[in-house]
Amino acid sequence: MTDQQWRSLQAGLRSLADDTSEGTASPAVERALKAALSVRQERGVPLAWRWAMAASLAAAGVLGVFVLRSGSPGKAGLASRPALEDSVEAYTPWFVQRGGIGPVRGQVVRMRVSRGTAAAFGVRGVGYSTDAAVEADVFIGDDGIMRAIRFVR
Amino acid sequence: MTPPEGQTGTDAAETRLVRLLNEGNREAFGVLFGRYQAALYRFALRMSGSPAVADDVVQDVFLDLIRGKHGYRPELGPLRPFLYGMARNLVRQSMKDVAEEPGEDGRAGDGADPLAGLNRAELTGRVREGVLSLPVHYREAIVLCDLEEMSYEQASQALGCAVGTVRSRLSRGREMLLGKLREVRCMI
Repeated sequence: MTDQQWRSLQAGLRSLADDTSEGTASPAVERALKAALSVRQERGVPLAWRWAMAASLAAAGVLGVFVLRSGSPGKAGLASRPALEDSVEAYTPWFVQRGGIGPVRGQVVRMRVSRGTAAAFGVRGVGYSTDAAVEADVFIGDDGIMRAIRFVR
Repeated sequence: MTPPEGQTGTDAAETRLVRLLNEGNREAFGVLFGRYQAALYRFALRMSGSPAVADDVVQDVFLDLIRGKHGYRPELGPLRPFLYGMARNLVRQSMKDVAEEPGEDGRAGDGADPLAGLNRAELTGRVREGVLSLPVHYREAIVLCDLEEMSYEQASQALGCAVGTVRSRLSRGREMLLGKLREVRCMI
């Protein structure tokens, strides 16, 4: 490699480095990790479930995000969302974290989780697909903490 | 408290942070995520060319760290190269490119400058394509040393190989990159 070639290549590499120097992970990554962390923090929840949920959150393909109205997702929030209320029978009840959700804002994220995760909640026979995953709605507070989950039948 | 032998004060502090993170400590997560996520994202992006892959890599690295899955062992080295090592493995898993041996097309060839006369955007685009087309061993060396500006020693820790290996891969990778750039230029 001649000096001229090397200088030229260096300039090109520097240009590429500058072009990607501002890169940062998307906010969704931090949210998912905080949710996984909150699962880790939970006490009294079976360890297997915590890991299953953390893994699910990490591997989940997010199918859709629905922003909730303010208030508790128990009644004022989740239950009153028209988009999801239309087919109540299509879901299991919400499984809410110990101690309740509290008046928080957040998002419901549709994702695919393993059947093992559903089984950890005592939910069996959910979903109609033959693959190993089932769909679930996970309520994640704006603080990144996972508050509740329900499974699509 | 005195850090364990071989560890600096910074290393010891990070070891404590990792332990706290394993216990679910949100502040520890905030510190470590803030310190390393951007660098890991850039590394994965430069290796894969895909923002989605880069996001996945960052998420999986930190998820494993939270879970203690791969058991960071401070006595084996600082946290930074450990995280890069995890990211590197995840990037490799995400890529179909398993070619490890350079082909004959990667030679630098004659003395012509394949990047002469290009504007900045063209230059960046060509070099990006060239880097992404390199076999993974050479791409890693170029991304870590030329783009991340790591020292040979830091890169060798991240790659788990000798410093001399990093040097030779870097040298060969640059030659191949130049050859690929010339190839592209000749086709235009």
